[in-house]
Amino acid sequence: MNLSTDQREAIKDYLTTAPGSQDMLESLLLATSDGRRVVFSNYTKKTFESNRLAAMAASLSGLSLTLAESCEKNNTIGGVVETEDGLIISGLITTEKQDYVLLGIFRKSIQHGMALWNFKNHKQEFKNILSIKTD
Amino acid sequence: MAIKVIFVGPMGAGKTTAIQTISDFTPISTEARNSDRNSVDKLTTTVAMDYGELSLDSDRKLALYGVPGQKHFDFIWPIVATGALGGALLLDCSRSDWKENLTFYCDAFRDLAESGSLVLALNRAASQEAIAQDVITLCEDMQLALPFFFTDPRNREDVYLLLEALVIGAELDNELYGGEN
Repeated sequence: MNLSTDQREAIKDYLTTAPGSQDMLESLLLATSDGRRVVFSNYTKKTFESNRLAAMAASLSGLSLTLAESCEKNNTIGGVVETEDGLIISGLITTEKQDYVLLGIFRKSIQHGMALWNFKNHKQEFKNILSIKTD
Repeated sequence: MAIKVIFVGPMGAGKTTAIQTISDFTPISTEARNSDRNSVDKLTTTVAMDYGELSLDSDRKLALYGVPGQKHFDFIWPIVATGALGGALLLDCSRSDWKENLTFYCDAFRDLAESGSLVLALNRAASQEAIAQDVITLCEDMQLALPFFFTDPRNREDVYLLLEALVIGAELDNELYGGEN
């Protein structure tokens, strides 16, 4: 999980202006696929235990992959938890060196399609940053 | 009827391997790339659970559950442990911190340990006599009486022995206490 300084700066910059951070997202969390928190951004006044969320996101991602395989579904994109207070979406980001899990917690008022579209864009942006070649 | 048994212990102790060794079918696993190769040098690690089964006879089978070993996954331990007949605590005795792990996981699964439903599987034990004495002392300190075995999780007989100890222990409890313990 050795991110370069450039990667860390790029992630930090991205999180401060992430699309939807003002009106759609409650939180974005990036963890390693084995459950260690990398970065966490909270756009609300809620109190989140980000280290526990990181572990849970990894478990959710692992279960989603295994469940999909058991259902003969290929190329798993992620997992969705649907609540009356908004969606929680997880997605696996694979890079050459390390795999990561992105977790997006969305506000109650956000429609599913909007949340999924917004999350997909974040996931792609993180993948771009995390795939930058480092020595 | 399926009897639930759980495999617990730190990362790299051999939980996934033990279930793979004994299961009637290829176990269901939830593996992810290990980002902590300095602690345990292996490519992947369990992040949610492993699941396998072992048939005992035509009517009974064991449902084998493995939990992720890292402490940050402790939220999932009670979820997986609910309803378990017992558990096997696997320890890698070649690691310098195996004694700390023994006390930590006995404490984490205190209910199983206190009811005598936890067996210790001591892996990669070079000096068995010294390790056995350490285990006895540590268990006495914790006021626990736990059966322990020197095992290799790749060895079917070794894993079977652990499960046999758990099942026989539970059956004895049932006869002696009528299932109250």
